[in-house]
Amino acid sequence: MQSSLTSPVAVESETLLRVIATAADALWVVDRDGYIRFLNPAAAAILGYADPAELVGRPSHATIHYKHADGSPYPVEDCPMLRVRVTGQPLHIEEDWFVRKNGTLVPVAYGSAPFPDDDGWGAVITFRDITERLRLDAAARREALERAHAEDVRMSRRRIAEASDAARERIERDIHDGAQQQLIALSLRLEEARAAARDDPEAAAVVIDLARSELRLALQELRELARGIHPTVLTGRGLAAALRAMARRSAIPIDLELDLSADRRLPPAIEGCAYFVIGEALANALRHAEATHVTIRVQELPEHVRFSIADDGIGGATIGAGSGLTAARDRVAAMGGTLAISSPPAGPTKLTATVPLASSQPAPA
Amino acid sequence: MDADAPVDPLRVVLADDAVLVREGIARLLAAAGMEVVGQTREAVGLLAIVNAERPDVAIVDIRMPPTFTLEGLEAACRIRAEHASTSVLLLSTYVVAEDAMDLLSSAAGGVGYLLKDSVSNVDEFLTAVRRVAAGESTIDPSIVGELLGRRRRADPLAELTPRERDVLALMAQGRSNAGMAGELWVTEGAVEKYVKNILAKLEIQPDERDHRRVLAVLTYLDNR
Repeated sequence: MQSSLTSPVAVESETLLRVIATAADALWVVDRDGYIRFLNPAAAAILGYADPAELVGRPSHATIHYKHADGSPYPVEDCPMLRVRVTGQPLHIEEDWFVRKNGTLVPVAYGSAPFPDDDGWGAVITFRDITERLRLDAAARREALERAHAEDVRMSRRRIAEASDAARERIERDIHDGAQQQLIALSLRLEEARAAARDDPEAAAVVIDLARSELRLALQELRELARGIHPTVLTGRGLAAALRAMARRSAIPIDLELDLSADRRLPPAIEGCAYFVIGEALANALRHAEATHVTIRVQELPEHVRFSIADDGIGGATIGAGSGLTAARDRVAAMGGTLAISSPPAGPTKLTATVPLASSQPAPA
Repeated sequence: MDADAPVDPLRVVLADDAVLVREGIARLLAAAGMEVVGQTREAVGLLAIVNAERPDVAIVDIRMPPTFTLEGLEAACRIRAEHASTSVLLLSTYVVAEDAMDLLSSAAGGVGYLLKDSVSNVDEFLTAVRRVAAGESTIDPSIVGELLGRRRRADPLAELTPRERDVLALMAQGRSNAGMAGELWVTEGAVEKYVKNILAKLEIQPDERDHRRVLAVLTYLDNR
């Protein structure tokens, strides 16, 4: 009777132990005092031990769980893994770190459940090496970040393209409303002069003088327009000269603090970016901030160019949809730089941009 | 102003890559009795022509091939350095004070900087050509205007009387004391007094030579 009851169980236990020993999942058993009672070869392998016997009888927490991923100590009282012996509640941890034989850490997911051990409770723990899962998670996060970044870049490119379209439209309108109309009027004026020339040469001379002053206006307007599209002084003489010219023409006083090497030009793309952003900020200071004074600062650092525009205006500037400052930020971002704005409600406004020197093409010799 | 035409016609070389403008100026100079001894569309050709022809004046567009930036200015400076007898009048579509000052610094006189639009003001243009040929310096009023127009928080120019400002503007354009006296309908002695006051108020070192005075005044205006 006895044997009929015990022997099948004994056989089952043997089988069970073999099953556990060959299982792919790691198994770890801790007694009521927190010492390692049993582990299978899979657990030993993950923890870097050749023989499970090396571990049996050692304190579980002090052997495999005594430090966090950042290296800081992991007090046993904080450890939920062994607390199941007190709470009686099984638990599952998705990400934690165990210490290998050589002191390195291995990321694991584990489940811990209480089991009756003599007159108290031990814990049986199953765990898995999650190195691969973490690697995939990190790759997925990186990919998501890259996707988000690519979306930012796409949006920014789109805004740059739209801004460029809008600028072309504005130029077309300026030419159409300005110089084109003036030239049409001028051709009519010359027609008038031709008619007068036959009968009244003196009147013709007056009309021609009129035509000439109208032509001068048209020329002036075209010149301003062309300069607005791209200032030739920027190409010919660089950022410092172009900013000095900007300051000379400005309606409000501008202080220039230019800390640029005199004998070397910045890369053209950076000069263009800085000139555009400073121009945009200056226009903002004039149009919206009611500024009476502006300080422009350009600093050449070993690996960056930093420029800032500070006014004494009423503040409240934001980088938002349709604002020229959005275009400025896109322009700086396109150069791999960053743009920050400080503009409290009562002012003043200060815009600072930092652009790396290396991201753009080298300056022509 | 310079009513007496010189006995020998002025010999002029023209450099501008805009053919229509170049030919227009050539016609205008010929009509005024000057002799256009050479034309070119680029800075390199200009130096060769000046070497061969030794003209009295070279009229040079600042922006020419190949880079269309400062070729004309560089050629102008070289001409002044290598040919003492050839004056240079630089033409520019835009007012660029730095260009004017580079040109002024490159020589001890006989240089001019004019906005291209000013050419259509024929009398003034011809006067500029003759003055430059005579070794004077002349700067387009619009450059002076731009420099004078620069707004400053504490502006030393505020110290000047309106009349002194007029004199300062003419001085910056390269006018001699006699020239200013004629323009302002005052005696040369009065102009001398204005000039002395202005230079003292702005703390600019006085210099007898007109050319040096132009450079000093423009530099002052730009740096104030």
